Amino acid sequence: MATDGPEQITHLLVRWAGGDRAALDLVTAAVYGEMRKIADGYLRRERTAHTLQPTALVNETWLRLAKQAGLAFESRKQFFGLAAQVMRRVLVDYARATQADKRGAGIPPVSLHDLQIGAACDLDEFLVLNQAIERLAALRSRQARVIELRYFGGLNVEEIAELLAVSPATVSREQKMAEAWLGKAMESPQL
Amino acid sequence: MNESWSRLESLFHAASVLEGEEQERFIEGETTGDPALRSELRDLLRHAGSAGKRIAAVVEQVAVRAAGGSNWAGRIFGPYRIVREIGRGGMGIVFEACRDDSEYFKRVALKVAPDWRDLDWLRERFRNERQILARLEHPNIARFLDGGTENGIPYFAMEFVDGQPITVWAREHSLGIRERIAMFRQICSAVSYAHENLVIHRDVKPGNILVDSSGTPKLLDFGIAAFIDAVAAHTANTTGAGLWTPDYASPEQVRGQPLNVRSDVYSLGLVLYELLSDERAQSAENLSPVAMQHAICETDPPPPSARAAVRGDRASSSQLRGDLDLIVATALRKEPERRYSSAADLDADLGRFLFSRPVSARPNTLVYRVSKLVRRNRVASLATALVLLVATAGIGTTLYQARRAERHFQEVRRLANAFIFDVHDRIEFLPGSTEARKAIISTALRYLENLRHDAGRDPELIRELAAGYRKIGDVQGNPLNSSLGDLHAAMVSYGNAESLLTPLAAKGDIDAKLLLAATLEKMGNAQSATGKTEAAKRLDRARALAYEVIAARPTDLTALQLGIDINSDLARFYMDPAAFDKVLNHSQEAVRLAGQMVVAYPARPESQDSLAEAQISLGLASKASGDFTRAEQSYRSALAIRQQLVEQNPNNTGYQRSLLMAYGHIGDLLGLPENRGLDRLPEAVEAFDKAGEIAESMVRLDPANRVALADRATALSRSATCLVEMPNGAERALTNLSQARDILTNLLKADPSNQQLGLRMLAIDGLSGKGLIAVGRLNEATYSLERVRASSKAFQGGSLQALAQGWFAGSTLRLAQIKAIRGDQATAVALTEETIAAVPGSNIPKYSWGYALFCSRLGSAYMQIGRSASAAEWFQKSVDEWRKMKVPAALETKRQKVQAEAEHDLAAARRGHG
Repeated sequence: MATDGPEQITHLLVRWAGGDRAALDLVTAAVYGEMRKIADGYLRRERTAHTLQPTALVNETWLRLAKQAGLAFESRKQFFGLAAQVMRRVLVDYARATQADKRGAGIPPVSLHDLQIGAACDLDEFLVLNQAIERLAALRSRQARVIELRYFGGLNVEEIAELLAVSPATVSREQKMAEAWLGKAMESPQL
Repeated sequence: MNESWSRLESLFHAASVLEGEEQERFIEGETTGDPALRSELRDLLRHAGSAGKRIAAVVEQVAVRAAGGSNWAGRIFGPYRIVREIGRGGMGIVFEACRDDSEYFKRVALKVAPDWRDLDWLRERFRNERQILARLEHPNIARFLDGGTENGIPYFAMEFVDGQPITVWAREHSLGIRERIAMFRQICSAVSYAHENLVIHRDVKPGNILVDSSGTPKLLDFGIAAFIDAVAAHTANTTGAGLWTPDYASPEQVRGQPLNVRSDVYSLGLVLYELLSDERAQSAENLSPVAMQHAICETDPPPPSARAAVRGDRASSSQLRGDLDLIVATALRKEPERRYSSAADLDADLGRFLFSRPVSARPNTLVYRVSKLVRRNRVASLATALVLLVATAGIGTTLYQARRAERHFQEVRRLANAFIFDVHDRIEFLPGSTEARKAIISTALRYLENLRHDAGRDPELIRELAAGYRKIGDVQGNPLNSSLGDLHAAMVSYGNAESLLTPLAAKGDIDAKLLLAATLEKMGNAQSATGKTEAAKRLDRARALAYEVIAARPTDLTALQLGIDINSDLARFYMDPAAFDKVLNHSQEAVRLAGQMVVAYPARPESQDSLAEAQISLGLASKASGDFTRAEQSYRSALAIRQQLVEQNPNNTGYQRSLLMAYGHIGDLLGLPENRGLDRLPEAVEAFDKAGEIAESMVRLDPANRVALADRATALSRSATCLVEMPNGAERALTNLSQARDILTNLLKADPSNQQLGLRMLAIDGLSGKGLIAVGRLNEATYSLERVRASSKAFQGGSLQALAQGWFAGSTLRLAQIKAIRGDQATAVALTEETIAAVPGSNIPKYSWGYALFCSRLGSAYMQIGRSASAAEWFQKSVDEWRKMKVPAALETKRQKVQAEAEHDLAAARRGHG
């Protein structure tokens, strides 16, 4: 019999942290579900401001999962480290699915929402960014990780430093370089 | 490649701290002859400032859209086009939409449920429901128009009502009480109409009753709630938590029970209440499951007139007092069968009020409240709270902020403890509740495990957890409580408590010491029942800790009681001749502390209980040191106290068992072989029979109570032990033994490794052999005795080996006697010699009464087979024992008598020889 939602996510995250790559797919779907509900809550409360920081989303998810299911993570930071990766993956999948759907590529959408019929240029831009991050990762994996933790996980410099076991000064430098490089890459994407 | 990157990087960092001309010169200088590098560097620097923002923006946009926060406007669903968003609910999003191709219903309310995308079964269900819903035509019901799916996403179209919730409207238009009632009655009639068409609303609340510009109230969302329930049932969200609003939930919803017409009546009652008093009847948002359940299922709201009075609105208060209060109360009864049976009835009563006719509502009578129903509800409500706890802790669907999450955690913790302590205490002494306890325990264990992860180093939490584990251990197997007898599980639970508490106690935490002492005591007792010697170590540790606590807190009831208990346990434990002084010491300590407790708390039955226990302990010690008079005195006074306690607390199975034990002690004193000299066997039998009766009644009340079963078997076999020694007692003994055997067989099936049970079985068979010989049923006797010989082998190497071997020796000797009677000399001799060989390793100590008797028996056995020389040898030994023996005064006469008999037998044997 399946365990309850948050507990299942916990197990999946732990398995993934232990190297089980397949668990990532499952946890992506599961965490996404959680995040969606939280997001709905936000948007319900703030009718006019349709802004949603993905980092706030991750934060909320952590709180819920941690307290409700007794997450085995030592600290918030570890979770965020993983959640950042998940978040990124979630968004990439969503963007790809949406694009594919519209282009009639015949790929059935994942159980995410296809809600937009308007302009999709921001989705494209995101996919370009994602690819740039991948390329950066091939060159300098730590810099890519810093970007991921910062923009998808919402961690600050000190937290990233602790997680990656380097000095904050190093993190700042890496971040700066990575940002510049990505900015350039987005301008001239090599698709 | 790597190198060039590194170079680029260091150049970038160096250059970025420079500005303007300086920067330019730097770039030029460092990249001479490498135009590619130069342009790359320039690109990087160009993006350096703004890239971060851009990245953030891009990610955010996608996140927002992925989360569903996009703009829906213009989206098409069926024949409808979305105009704007109106709100969000448990099911999805509500929009205003329009339909271009229609004359009527140009404007509609469109409910879209993106979460229910691709639920095929829902489509099926929908098709069935749609017709029913579409048929509902009533001026006060927002018409259900249509429904379908678009791209797999279900939508529902309804008549668009542009208005305000009824409560708001009433306030803004300053409606008086009668006007409010009149408006409300329209809603009643709408609900009543729907009920006639077999549709329940399920979600009646002010937010779902909008009053339009013409002043017509309209009820929205009819039937939609049914889909919510269905979807909830399909997910794991069994209680539908998060899908109904706590403030407007009916008791049935909270309990997870199916909803019906009367649930709608309750909801109407809530709306009426709010209309009449401008405040909600129940406020349950953000409460813990237990509190929520209490608020909704158990707490009646103050009547509307009281609310008005509090506000200072005397006019309204007097208008509301009386019939209107009653009508509202009737609609809001917690028990559905006591509410109005339909919305129409509610409507009718309101009409009567308006026309100053007598209403049909009746007040809640006191008799009704104070009854079994209250008690039944309490048990049911605890079970409900448990369900809520499981649901909420497993799948929270409400949103918590950081502080709220922390509070929730605290609630879980408090609740888990509430279950273990409060709930459990309440049903600890109710007969017949063993199975109920089992269910609660396993759930509570689960939560303790969860809390353990977060225990960290918080001493309070650690203590709570440890206490929880101990309590669970109590139920699982402590034989001193009436319990389920699962010793292994109990030891595990106790062990958990011990490991949690030991570090805290070492640091000097008094509360932890107390808890640890209590846990160790329980463990020691549990272990002593299965014959392990670590028990003594644990009890000693417990005692030391308890004394430390008593020293720090001399009138602490728990500590005192614990001190008494431990001393009593130790007294019982050291029951062997080498440790008499220890036993006496502990018993006297126990009595001392019990006296201290009675002085401090004279009115508590528990103080009396402790005193009785301490006296039992002293009785045992006295008996062991030979002071039979004092032993009997102590036992009898303990018995008197215990009888009184049972009389005054008839439901307390703990006291009953203690009374049983008291009888047992008296029986032991007066009837066991080593005390045979007292010649008071009939009284002993009587005492054991009384003990057996009590055990029997406990089993009748709770057939799963294995401890009571074991007690009954013990009482029966002890009684039999005495009966076989009495003239004509053998038949009765055999009846008892056969009953005891049946009980033990069943108990052993369930707990095959329990050596104590096995030993008792051995004793039964041995005694049966003796009894059967006495009535001349030698074949059966042989069978029983052979069984003893075979079974006793199983105890080899264990702590009960000596005792088992004692039975082996005795049974072998009896078997020898049978063989002799039948003329099989050879076997008789062999068996006799086997007996002699077995004696040293048995529990029959030399220089004791038992041993002397045994020597005599051996002598007689040899006489029977005509070996008078060997007979004389053993009779001589017997006489020697008697001569040397030091017995208590009470037994002296008897000793002389038996010695004389032995000397006579010796002489006869010598004559035979010569």
